[in-house]
Amino acid sequence: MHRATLPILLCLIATRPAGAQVSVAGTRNLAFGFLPLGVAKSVQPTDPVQSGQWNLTAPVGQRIQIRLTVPNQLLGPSGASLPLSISNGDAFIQGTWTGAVAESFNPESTVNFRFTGGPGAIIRLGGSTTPAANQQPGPYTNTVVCTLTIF
Amino acid sequence: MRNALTLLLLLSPLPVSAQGVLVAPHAVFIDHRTRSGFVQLYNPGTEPTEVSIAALFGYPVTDSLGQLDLHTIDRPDSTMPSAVGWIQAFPRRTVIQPLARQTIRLLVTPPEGVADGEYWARLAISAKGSAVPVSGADTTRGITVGLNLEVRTIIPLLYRKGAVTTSLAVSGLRAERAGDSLVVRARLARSGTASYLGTVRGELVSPAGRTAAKFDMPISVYYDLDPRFTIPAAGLVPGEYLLRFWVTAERSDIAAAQTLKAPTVRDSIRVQIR
Repeated sequence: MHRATLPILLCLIATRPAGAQVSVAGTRNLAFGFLPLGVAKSVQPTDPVQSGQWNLTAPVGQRIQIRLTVPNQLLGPSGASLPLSISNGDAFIQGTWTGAVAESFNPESTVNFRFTGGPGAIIRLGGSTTPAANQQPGPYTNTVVCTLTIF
Repeated sequence: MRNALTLLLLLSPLPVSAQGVLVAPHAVFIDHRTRSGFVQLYNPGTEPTEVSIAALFGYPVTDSLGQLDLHTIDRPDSTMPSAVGWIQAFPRRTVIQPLARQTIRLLVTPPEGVADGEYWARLAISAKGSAVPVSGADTTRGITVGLNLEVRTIIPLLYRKGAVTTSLAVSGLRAERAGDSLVVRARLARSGTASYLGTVRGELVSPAGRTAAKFDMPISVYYDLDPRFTIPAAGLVPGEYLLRFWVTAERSDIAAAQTLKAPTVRDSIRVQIR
């Protein structure tokens, strides 16, 4: 083996994630874009730009449970709030392998999913909001939690 | 002029870097002789991730439809084989830099004289990215929205002391057509002093003796379950099929040294496909 090869190999091994691993990572916020006051706006979970997205990885064959904890409002300045509705049909999960079919689920409940054809999957989240006509200006935030359970 | 009909609210679409961590392994086994273990975390994102570790007690159960769920108990009583109060994680909170890894050491301190057996807990690993920046709007005229994405991964932890055993009994095997699938249900009753980690397999054998469809599914039986499995049944030629069903104490995702040996259990029924 060439003298330079061993350190390179060691570096590659050191940076390789461990096997039998699971991960869930939020990769895109649910975003509503511009809204006129008093007018409802919905984002479909199939929207490739505005829907929220998590990426999941697990060993092929692994069965997991997914639970989303979604808020019903966004909290703004001086105690102001903005209603946020995320209901049945606003979420789906889909394997990233060829032929995988999207499975819609109710974000208020859990869904069991199995990595049958590959190690990757995505969850997409949509929702709707209706700002009041006199909505107070400022930043509004809240948190969506995605819990992945290994049985 | 402040005109509610013309003023636009800006709910800005904010790009977000990946917020989460890789967790390995996805099941932790700790022996009474060593009383320690570890979990390795890796941040594949481009932003630091704040991670916290907590322990909780829970085990899989099935609902009336056979769907698996995690039943958690906040304060397990003394009859429950809970190891939750014995677990310490070091560090319990940490910040993992981008593309960096962190080993979480687990130390288990059971009470003196604890009986031989298997004790259970779940590790909940929560990851929060940096706060989502709220930007892109003049906040004197409109509003912005930053929806933080937080992730939590829950994995099993099994603490074993002394010789532990497990076995499984299958009963109530039944099958019912549901759309283009055949839904198979069976009661799985565990006995012994440890959970049963195995794989359920089934196959439909045609009247001609050929395997027409099959399934396999990893299963963890802590208390009795009545799970459901599905076999694709679209395109099956009508007739009487034999459904073979068996459970083996092996898992493709768990090292063989960690799964306890137990006899394979089998059952079969005749199924009419119309």
